[in-house]
Amino acid sequence: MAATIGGYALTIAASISLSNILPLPRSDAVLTAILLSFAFYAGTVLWAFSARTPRRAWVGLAFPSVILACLAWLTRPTGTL
Amino acid sequence: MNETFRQSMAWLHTWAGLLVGWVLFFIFLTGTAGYFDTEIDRWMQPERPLAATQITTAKAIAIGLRRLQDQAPDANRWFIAPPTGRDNPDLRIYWQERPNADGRRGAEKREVLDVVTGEPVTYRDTGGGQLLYKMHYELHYVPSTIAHWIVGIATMFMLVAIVTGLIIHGRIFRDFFTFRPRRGQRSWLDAHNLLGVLALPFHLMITYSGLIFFAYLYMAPIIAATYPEEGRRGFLAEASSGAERVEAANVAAPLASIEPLLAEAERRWGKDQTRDIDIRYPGDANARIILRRDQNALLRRGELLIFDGASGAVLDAVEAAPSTPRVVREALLGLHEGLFAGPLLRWLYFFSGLVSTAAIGAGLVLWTVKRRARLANGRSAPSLGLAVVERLNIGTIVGLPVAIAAYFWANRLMPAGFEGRAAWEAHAMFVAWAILLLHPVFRSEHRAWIEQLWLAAAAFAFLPVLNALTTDRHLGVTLPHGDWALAAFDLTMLASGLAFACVAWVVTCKAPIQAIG
Repeated sequence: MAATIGGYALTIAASISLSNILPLPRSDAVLTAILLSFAFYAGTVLWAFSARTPRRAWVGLAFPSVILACLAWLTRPTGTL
Repeated sequence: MNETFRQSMAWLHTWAGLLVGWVLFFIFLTGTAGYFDTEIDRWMQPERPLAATQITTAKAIAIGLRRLQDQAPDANRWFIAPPTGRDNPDLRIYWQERPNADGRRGAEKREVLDVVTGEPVTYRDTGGGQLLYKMHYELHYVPSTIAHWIVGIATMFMLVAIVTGLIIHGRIFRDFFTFRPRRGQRSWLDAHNLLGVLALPFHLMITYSGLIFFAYLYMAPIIAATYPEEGRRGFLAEASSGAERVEAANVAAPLASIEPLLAEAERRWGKDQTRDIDIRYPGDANARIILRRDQNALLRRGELLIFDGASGAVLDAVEAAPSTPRVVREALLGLHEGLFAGPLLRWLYFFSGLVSTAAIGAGLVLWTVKRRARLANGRSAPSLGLAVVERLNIGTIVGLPVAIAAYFWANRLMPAGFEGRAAWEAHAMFVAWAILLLHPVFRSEHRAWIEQLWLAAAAFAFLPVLNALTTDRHLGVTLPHGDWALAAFDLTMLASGLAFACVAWVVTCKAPIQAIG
């Protein structure tokens, strides 16, 4: 559960941050983030399953998710939301 | 690498693989068949001429245009795809009538034209190779969006299984030369490893690129973050190079002559490089004529040439992939589909697909063999889970190929004019599969393997015979004609039948417990 859902949330947060930060035209930045997202997702799933306890996996996914979500918010393109 | 990490990866590999193994087996097998989609189409429509008549792109387009002017002079859109070789053997046309008075989309119609007479041809109604190919991402009987999600999740599991498999394994090259036959569980592990390593680049490429096809669906939130208002539509408009949308002027103007436009395309791209021609608002002052280049290269998308449909002037030339991320995406999709592949490479794709399928099958069997061994050692009790997995394995690993054979049998046995026959071909496939999934429930495991394997051998080996009895497109005709696409279909079925017979024979000769372990 932690790996699939938490991993997806973390992937989305990281990818949005990446698409905001990349110095490319916005459609290319989004596409780059999407192309890389599956590798990132696979990595988070592996990491979650290597965690010693489910609790650690949850915390380990939730914490960076929140940080990256904040980063995504801060770096959001001007003029949206 | 530390041992606990490797153990948790092994656990993940085992259960990720088991959970979606049968879905993946279906996806990989039908997808592999898809590498010969148009060849299967031809076999399933034996009314087609043996050798296609050679015709230039310009002539084919002229025939299509004449038919469209005749049948749909007031249409909103005309589309002509001339025959361009393996992937596109027919002259196809399509038109869409103007929107109805209440604003609904106009009626659409498609036809395949005979390049000699210019009249529409009537081949038997069949799903053909296209339906098999579509099943690997749309499944069947399931709405397509749900199917895309199921396939995407299974593919994500596959990606995880490949990476974890590599981690627990670690020694790629040594195992390349390790196969210990007749050692029960060890042999299955070796087989799974060997198959996994043998086509590792293919497994990785096909899995990752498979995810990219519907990535905009799976990763929709990433798009929504940058395009909160316009959403996916806005992103696609920016990210895919297409023709700019224009509205009809509703002022009549004769359509420009097509020949000079084709000559212009030929000057830029080379001879007979036009894949299709799309005419928006023919006969309107704002008409657009869009030529698309054939994709002989790796990239999936071809360049576009856009003309003013009234004056015939070049308005725009659209690149296939104008930025690096776009090139990467188009190249991944192009690699997955392999449309650029010639005969040799195509067979390599086909066999790589079979290796992937076999690796999944061997992994599923390995799971049961391991637990059987523990059972034999008295280290565990018989469980329902093991029995269920064993039964599903038989019904999928042997049952699904038989079901595909049933699809071909149905194509030959149903009368050519039978109402709804294309749908019934697919029903035949899934009814056969359902029966073979149920059959092992009533038999001992060993008997079920033997019976289904012999059935598979017969189902494939006798297909060429059935073909000879019901059509005049059998090996006795196709071989002397040198029609290798049709001959190769029959020969492949024969080879598959023999392969199943060999396995069936080996399993029959073995003692029950040895048979699969």
